[in-house]
Amino acid sequence: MQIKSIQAGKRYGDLWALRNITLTLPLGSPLLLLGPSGGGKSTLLRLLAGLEIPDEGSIQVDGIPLPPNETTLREYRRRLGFVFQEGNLFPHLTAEENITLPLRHAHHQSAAEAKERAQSLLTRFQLLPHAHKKPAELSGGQKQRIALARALGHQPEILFLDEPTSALDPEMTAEVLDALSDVQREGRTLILATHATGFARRTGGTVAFLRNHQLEWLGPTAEFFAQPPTPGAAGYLARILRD
Amino acid sequence: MKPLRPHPLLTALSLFLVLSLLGGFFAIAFQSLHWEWRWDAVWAYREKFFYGWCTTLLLGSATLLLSIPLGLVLAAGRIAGWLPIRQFCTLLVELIRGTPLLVQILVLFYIVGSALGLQNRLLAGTLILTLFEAAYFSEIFRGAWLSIPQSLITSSRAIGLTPACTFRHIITPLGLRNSLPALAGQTASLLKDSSLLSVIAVTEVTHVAQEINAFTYGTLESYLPLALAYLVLTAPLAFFTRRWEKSLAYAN
Repeated sequence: MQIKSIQAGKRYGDLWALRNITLTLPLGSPLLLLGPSGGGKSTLLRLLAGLEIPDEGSIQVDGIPLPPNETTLREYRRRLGFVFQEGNLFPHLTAEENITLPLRHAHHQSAAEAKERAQSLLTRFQLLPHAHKKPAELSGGQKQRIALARALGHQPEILFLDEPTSALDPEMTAEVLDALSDVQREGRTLILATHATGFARRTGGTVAFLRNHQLEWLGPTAEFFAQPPTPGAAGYLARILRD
Repeated sequence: MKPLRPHPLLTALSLFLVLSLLGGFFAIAFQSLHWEWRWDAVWAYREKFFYGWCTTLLLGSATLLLSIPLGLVLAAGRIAGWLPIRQFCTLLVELIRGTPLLVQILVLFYIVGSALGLQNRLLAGTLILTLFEAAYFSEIFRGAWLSIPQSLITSSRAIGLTPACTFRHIITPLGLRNSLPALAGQTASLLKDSSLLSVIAVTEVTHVAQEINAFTYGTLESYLPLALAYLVLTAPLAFFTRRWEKSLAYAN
């Protein structure tokens, strides 16, 4: 699946959250969306994942622009996985039910198939003892790993992550990033908006640096960290590495 | 936050205190009235009273069964409808909630009902009450719907659920959990609201009590059992809803 953003932009009211974004998702290698908060990272993720419709330009999948209709977009989203910053899990369902819900109702698996898949994912992320707990009984890191397991349930071609560790303390952040490294080793394409620069640097791939609602720089991750390519990027890195 | 559970003995003692305080207050009030109790005159009408109580129960159950789906439709119309539908539902709900039930009963029965040739009082009463309660239920459902965090709806879209699936697996269970206390309260209100149908001579239990009072002049002997007759219906409702609420709890 080849995904391209062609001069895409998104407006909320009178405010452009994002303008004139042209990029092609690198398949099989991660794309890191970096940049200051409010710079348009989340919006770009949502556009690429078919959760929002661009107000200008288009998102193309295998050369065909995504149509602005919910049924087609839903079919497209079913091929992807998505993890948000927080509020991913349904509070009335157990960890296991959170994972089986999309398998059963969006991917038409039988109850037994979905359960088996959920159990294998829970085992993989060392969460099996928590299978029957509700989100309120789990730590932030456990919740994010369950969200990750849910996003992987149907073997998505591409996994989108919108600041998955920003609401977590350092220990839980490490927990989630370890799980993520594990997923990355499988060769699945990750599109990750993050402030976790250490992880970004280790992950490699490509950096898209977004600032002031524009794509300011696009290039190899190693290059971005070796020599900040723009004054904006230098300022951003200096600010985050200070903490 | 969960309050600490006191010792059972303490609970019983406290309940005894509260009951004797309330009981004592009413005992003194009744004492000062010097009422001459005449239960025998009223006792003769017990069958009629029981029949009226059964009518209330039937009327209330039918209204509940009809007004909940209608309330859902009105709420859906207000949230997601096409503009004229949204305006219609909003206007209807605000009109019903903004005017006295008594006026609605009289207008709908004597004017609209007559025009439509609807003469069966029990049926007409059930329909009028259904419309009234549906307006209130619709606001409870709308509130429950709006109380569901947008992040969960986005989450549901992201995992590829259809709107129907989201409604069934996410909105309904979460909304039910949030609105259960209000729904139980409204159901108790519904039972008591049905007493106003006595003005169009539906022979429900309040109408019967009014008749017994007229025949026997035993005002308190007619109306105190009436209060009890409603309490027998509403108290279990409160009790079972609380238990149901506990079984639906998902967070501390």
